[in-house]
Amino acid sequence: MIYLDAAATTFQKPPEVGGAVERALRTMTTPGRGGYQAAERASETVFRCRSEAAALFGVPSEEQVVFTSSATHGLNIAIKSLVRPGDRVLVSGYEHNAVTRPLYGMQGVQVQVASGPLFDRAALLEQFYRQLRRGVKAVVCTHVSNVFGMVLPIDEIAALCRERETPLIVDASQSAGILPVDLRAWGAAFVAMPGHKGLYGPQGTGLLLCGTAETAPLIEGGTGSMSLLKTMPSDLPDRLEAGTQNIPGIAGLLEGLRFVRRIGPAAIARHERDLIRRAAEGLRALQEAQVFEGETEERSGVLSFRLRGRDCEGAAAWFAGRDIALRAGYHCAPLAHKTAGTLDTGTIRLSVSAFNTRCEIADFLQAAADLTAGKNP
Amino acid sequence: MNEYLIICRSITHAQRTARVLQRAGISHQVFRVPAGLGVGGCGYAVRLREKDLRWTLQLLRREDVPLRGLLVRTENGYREVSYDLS
Repeated sequence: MIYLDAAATTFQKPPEVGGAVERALRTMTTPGRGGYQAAERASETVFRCRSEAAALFGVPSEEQVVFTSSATHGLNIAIKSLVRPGDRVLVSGYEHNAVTRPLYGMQGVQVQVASGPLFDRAALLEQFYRQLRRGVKAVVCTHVSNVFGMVLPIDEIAALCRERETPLIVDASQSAGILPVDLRAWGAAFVAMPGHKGLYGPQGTGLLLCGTAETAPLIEGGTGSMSLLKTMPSDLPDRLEAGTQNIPGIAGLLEGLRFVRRIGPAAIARHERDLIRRAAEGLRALQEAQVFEGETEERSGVLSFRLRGRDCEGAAAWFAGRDIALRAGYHCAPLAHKTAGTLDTGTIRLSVSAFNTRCEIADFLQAAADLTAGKNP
Repeated sequence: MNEYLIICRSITHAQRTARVLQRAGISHQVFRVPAGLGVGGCGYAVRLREKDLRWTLQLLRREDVPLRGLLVRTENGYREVSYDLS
């Protein structure tokens, strides 16, 4: 299979990841539940994972690194910590349902959208400047559009939020492990990310990096600490980590993080951009193709396109018949499609990881040419 | 020689404290504190010797690791002591 759906989940992982998951299943229990060896091994693994993440993402202390089951889980904690019914919240025009659904699901929350033409970062920033006024309770902004791969001007948006003293939640789902993500430099209230995409961890893992904002637990229960308290402890990370943790997942994530730090996010970004540039160039040569792209530095390893006269889902199914994995539709981000004007059709999305090759892109382009020439898979 | 316990509110806090001491080569031990030490149940502590106390407190301050409580071992058990991080 040629796997080109890394924006959903990276399928190829460093071999150490699977090994760590298997080892954790065999040798570890749960941290904070005992002083015996299997619990201590788990505690050590969890702490090392927090340390790796803190070092990679500019987090001042390991206690500010909270494990979640996904970026969605982390975003829900972040949003529900900061936003109350009736509040006004400013979001970008590229947000995923993981952001918009928790907001619209809260009674009376007014969602303002800062938008602009696709890939026009200046226009987007201008909208943030205009709309970030007194009364906006929080800003929620994705770092990279999961549909179009557009890199949003998050440094500038973060600076604006600091200047106007408004808490910022960053969705780093498509950037963590690829672009610079820095909690301290941004001064963000929260940064949420999945473990199973650019960090090469297993599904069911995620990280929530916590700044200095108050936090509200999404679920409550045992933490292995302060057990005589009737309510959740006030200290992080325990406050947000009720219940038994996903130790095999965290062990795998630790190896994924080590892989990313070893290769370096900048090298991974260079590789992914090279592949996306090649894919975009090849697709542009096809008369039927409409390719959504910006300048190289403004995009990541994600590319959306449509084939005129062809249903996106049908085209993705055709590629699947060639054993090429792409994703079609709305990618859980209708707001991004509204911004780009693709709400009528959705798009076909190609997304790459550190493990994809130029040969795979060449094979994909040959397949795309065959599809437009009317060949069978 | 007196023995001191740095009280931690979570395993992560204890591990972070221990890492600072480890890097400085200070002998220490992380363990689950016995019930009745006033940590709210199921707490962790880092045990260290009196000779390392002052240096440890300075290090924790420098590394911005919060201190939740400090106990000293006496003939009758443990007693809370005040500390000065300045």
